[in-house]
Amino acid sequence: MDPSHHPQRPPHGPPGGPLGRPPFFPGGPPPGVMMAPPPGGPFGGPPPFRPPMVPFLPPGWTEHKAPDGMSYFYNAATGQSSWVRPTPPPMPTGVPGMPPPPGAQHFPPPGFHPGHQQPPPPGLMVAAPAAPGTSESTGAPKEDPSMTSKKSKKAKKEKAVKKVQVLDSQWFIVTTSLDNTFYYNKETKTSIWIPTVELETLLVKMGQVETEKRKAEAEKLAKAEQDRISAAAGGTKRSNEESQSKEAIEKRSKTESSAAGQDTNVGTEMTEDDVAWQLAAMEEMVDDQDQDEEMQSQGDESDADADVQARLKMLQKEPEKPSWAENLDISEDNIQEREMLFLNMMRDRGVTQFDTWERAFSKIERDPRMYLIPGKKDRQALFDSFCTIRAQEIRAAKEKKEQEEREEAERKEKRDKEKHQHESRRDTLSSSSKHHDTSKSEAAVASVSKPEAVYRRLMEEYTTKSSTWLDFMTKYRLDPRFLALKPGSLRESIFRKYLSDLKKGILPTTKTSSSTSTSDDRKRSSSSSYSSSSSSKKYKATKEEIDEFMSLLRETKKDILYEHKHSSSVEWKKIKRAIDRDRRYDAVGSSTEREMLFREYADKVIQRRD
Amino acid sequence: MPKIRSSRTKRAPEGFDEIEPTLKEFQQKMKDAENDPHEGKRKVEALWPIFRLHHQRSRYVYELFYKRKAISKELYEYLLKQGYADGNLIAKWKKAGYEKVCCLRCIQPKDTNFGTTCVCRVPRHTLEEGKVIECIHCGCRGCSSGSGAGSSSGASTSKDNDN
Repeated sequence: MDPSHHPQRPPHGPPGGPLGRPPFFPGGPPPGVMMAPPPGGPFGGPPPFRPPMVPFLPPGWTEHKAPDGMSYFYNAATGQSSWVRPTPPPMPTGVPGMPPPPGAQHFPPPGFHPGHQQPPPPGLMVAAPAAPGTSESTGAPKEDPSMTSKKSKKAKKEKAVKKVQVLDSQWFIVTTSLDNTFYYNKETKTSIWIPTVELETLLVKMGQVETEKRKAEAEKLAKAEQDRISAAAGGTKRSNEESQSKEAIEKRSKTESSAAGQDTNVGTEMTEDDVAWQLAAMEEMVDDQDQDEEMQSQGDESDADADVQARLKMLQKEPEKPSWAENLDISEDNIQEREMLFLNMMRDRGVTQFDTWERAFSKIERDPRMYLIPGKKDRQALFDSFCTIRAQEIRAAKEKKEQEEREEAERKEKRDKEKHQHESRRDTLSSSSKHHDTSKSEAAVASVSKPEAVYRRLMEEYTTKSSTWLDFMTKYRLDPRFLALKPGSLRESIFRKYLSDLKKGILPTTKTSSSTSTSDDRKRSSSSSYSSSSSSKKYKATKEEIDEFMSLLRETKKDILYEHKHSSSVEWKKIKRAIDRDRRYDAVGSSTEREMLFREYADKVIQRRD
Repeated sequence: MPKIRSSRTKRAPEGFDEIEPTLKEFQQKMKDAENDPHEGKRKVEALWPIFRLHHQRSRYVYELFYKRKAISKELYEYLLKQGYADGNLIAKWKKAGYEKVCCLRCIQPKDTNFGTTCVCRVPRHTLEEGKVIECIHCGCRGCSSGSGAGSSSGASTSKDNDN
């Protein structure tokens, strides 16, 4: 760097704005194209496989940093400022006629593709204004033929578009946007149209090597696809597809072996991600291991282009499906089968009804059966229906289980009821209340078939004082016992009546009798007997509830004793915290009642001990 | 919405454990979106991921209950109450023509200059071809029922699933 050059702001400024590149940039990048300086490196980031270019600036030029971070060059003598690194005066060689690439003249190709990692090679804008464009790009990484053809549509000026190294030598085959090919020697920095003798031999060798490579790749690819297909193929109906696809693959491999190869990611499944990545890689040309060599000699240009076009078409046609998937018989007729297979695949892969589409997709994306259904929307729709089906299945299974359990409980209850029937019948025989009789007999009969009784039992089973009609209805509306009660409008009224009775502690069957056996574990009798002894408060707990709570309390016995030993009083507060998570804690609704019960129990425990 | 479990909170209804991982994931994503730096984004653009995630989360719960019927009503109401899904947004999804509405702001006529709904509610075939709309409220690209908005991918129909 020039020692006299200011590290800080020089009197001049960077040339133009980010888009206002110096106009005397002959054949420079088309205006408006984004030219981000390639990151890294003293030359703005040569791609890793390229050795850095000559770093010396010609005399009079200095390098500075623009406010946006890019570096520009300023010639103090002439007052020029440019974004482009100037080179020492070049030795222009060239064939008259076609504007040849001048030897030392390397125009920066930043406009040539935005994604390229290229150094702004030293380019002398002053010389060779005649050169209608960058015809050379030393830093250009290798490009795919598809790029060539694409570029040729866009660029009007002649530019170097593709460069291929010849077999580890210093020669490169460069293709321009106007489909001219020349040969460039990196060492001597010469470019020629006609290959020299040794270059000729090198080219021939390259061609041979390439064909061999192509063949090997194609074989590997074919083999991998065959394996995949045989793995995916379920049944016999796929076997002819297999053979079809095998043939197709062989055919394709043959065509490919003569043309440029497809891709190098062989041996792995070509999922959509891979293809997408490959497309991206081809466009950006980041992959330098991709020795995509073409038979480039002057005579072969037209063939190469044809290959390029064919490949491009193929890729554009099916950007998302791997090649073998094309051979699957995807038509309207077998959509049912395909859907079934798709659903089976989801089942196999463990897609649950609680998954989001993203989760499910990550589970199934590796499976080749995914491609049975083309189109994202269709797949999502299928996934949704799959989830619904699964949810249904699970619900059905659960219902069945519950049903069985309920039947068991019913049978048991029936047996109990039979037992109590006798007792209660004896009791009420003396009673004169007709109503009581009839209702008793109704219950006594305990006919499961009688809808009201069944409904009643359903209510008993479920309801506590805090239940509501809405909850009860939504929970049991599909229950056969609920539905058994025929006039639907009656259900609510019966329920509400039952609920009010329950709250008041009075239930029709035990209205008059307090003599009903207290060992009866049926809520109604116990609640009535209990509440008849004490004032019927609204939220008094039933015996059953109390029993539950007591069982919970019994577990705290140890704590009570401990507390009693170490402190004079046993605090309900402390003990409460230990048990309040338990379901039985809520059995008794009222907290004062809970405390009362606890007090009684604690006293009992202490007395027993003391 | 507490979402913290202590000894005083009630237990979640059955079935919560199965959906909990997904819900946790949403929560995490939401936190990330909230903590994202605002560099490089427009002022309104910084909020778009929030709206999108909110939509996605509510959509998940909605689908589980109404479409797949995979959770119980009890659990669904619990989720609504605890703030795992937006009940008001779900209520809109139940209405005809609003099945894929992106957010509640976009159907609020008071928020626009002319008392209409947001531009994202316009069906795609009515809009001129090739014009990509991102509404300013939530970044939605079209949430009318006929415009093929992906429900599980959320409000903005960016095809980031590499299908």
